[in-house]
Amino acid sequence: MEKKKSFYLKIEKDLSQDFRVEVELTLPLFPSSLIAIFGPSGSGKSTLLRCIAGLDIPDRGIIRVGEELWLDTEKKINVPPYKRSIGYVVQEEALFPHLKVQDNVSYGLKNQLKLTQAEARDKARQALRKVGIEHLASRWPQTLSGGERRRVALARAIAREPKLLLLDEPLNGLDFKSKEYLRQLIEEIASENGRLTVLISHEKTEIIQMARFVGIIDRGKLLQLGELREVFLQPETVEVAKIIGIENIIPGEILDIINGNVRMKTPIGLVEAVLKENMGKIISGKKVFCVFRAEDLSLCKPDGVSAPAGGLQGFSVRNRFIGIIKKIKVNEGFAQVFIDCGMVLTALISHNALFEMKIKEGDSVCSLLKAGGIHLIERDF
Amino acid sequence: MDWIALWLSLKLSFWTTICLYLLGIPLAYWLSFGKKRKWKILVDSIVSLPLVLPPTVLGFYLLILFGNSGIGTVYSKLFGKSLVFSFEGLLIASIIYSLPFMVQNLAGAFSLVDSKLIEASLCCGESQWNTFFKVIFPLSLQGFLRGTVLSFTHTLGEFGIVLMVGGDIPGKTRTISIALYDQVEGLNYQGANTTALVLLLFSFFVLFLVYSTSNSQWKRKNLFI
Repeated sequence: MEKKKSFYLKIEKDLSQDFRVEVELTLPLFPSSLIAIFGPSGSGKSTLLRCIAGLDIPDRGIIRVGEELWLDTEKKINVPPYKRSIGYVVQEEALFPHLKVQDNVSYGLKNQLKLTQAEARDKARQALRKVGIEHLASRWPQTLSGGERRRVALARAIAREPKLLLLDEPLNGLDFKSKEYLRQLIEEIASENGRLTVLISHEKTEIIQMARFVGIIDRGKLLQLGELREVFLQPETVEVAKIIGIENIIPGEILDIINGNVRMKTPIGLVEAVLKENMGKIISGKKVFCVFRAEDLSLCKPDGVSAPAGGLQGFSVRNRFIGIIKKIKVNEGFAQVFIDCGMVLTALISHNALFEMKIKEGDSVCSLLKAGGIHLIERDF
Repeated sequence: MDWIALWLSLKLSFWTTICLYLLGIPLAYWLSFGKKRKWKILVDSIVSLPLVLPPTVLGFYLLILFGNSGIGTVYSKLFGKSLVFSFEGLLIASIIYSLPFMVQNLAGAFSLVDSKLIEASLCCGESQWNTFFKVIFPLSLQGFLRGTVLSFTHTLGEFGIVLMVGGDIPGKTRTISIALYDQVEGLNYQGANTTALVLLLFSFFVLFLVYSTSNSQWKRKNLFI
């Protein structure tokens, strides 16, 4: 990536004796991009964001935005937060309680962008208009709803036209309507030229809807960074697969490759997967994990299929596993079915399907899985 | 009523408060936001000493210090006059004596300012200096008011330390509380009564004003909601 048009970060920071944040990444600045850093609570997401903002100082590291060097611990360069071109929205909004909405948004603009009072006011108005709350300009922050406060915080962040927009759980704790509105707004703002938006979240759905790039972080380490589709469909490690919520992770050993399909021996029986480019070197005897989502697993009554294992006559589906239902968990919109087939598999089916199939715990059921729905990850043990 | 003594006391209180701003604000800022915890405990203890020490003890040490050793000698070489039994000496003593009232109120108010707001200000492009004036100061006005009023009235009412360091020189070091003592000594009970009443009413009025502007410090918030 061209230096001029990229954001580079490499930081190390010890938070405690056995917890260290260690991240290196390069991201494009042009035309614009939105990267979501996804990981469980306490994984180091916020520390990463605070280091970018300059609020935390890494023990060692480099942060470069285009040709501007913000941090280089070796050269003893550390640009203070107020000289970095950032817009930072925190979960708590942190609106100044002694300033009206308008003054909250125009706060610091005069100094930062070298504007006159009137110009700063216009800029603030523009930002408020953009987030759709110009009519709240003369209100006190304490009188606003949660969604409105979040929008003021966003307006304050974008009014200064930052190169980097940092969003810490921007949709957390909002009602559905505010979430939807804000989500679209963030996407729109993030698409502006030359801007990098870094968003951190522990909500998978938020990320899938918004981000172009995703970074998966856990225990302070960046496990995988890539385009959204790539990371969610082809996790590189089992840790990533677990964090992005892939329910079924089955250890297996490759037997052979027949007509572009890989066959594996696993605790749930013979599994057949379509060979894909990203699966690395596939040779027989290699140990892998078969990874597939619960929604890719279909269920049918065991008497509905009668065919030898490893192949189903009259069906395009290549895999079937017969097992006993251990548990059925009914959630909003769908039901999770846990089936013991030698290892417990999780399937996701609709309420209607559950109702029509009349299955219950203890029943025998057949799980069907298309060979194309399986992703393979290498394993060393 | 000794008007000259009253005027001197007001003058002393005024300058003490001004000097306490200069000394107290950076000190309170460091106590609230600084990182060196060990040093903070030490400084905090020293600053708070006048709260528990008898004024005469403090006065005695200052008298020694201002005398022919250390600071006193340097001062008289520089300015050609003695610190002991002078207004300047009195001022320094008052600053030390009232320091905890300013510093503790300010530090308390500063540390109540949400650190997220300070960070937000930095991220909005305002330096630490500007952040102090635009965020920390307006949000700790209450602490400033208390610190100011308590330092001022405390200085107005000091006695032991003034007597030790300043003595009783009319127009120079005789403050209102010493004038009151003199009046009682001279069996001028009527004059003493007026002086005492003026001091009492003034102090009460000022405190009443402060506590009525800040909603009562003892009120428990959100307990019964």
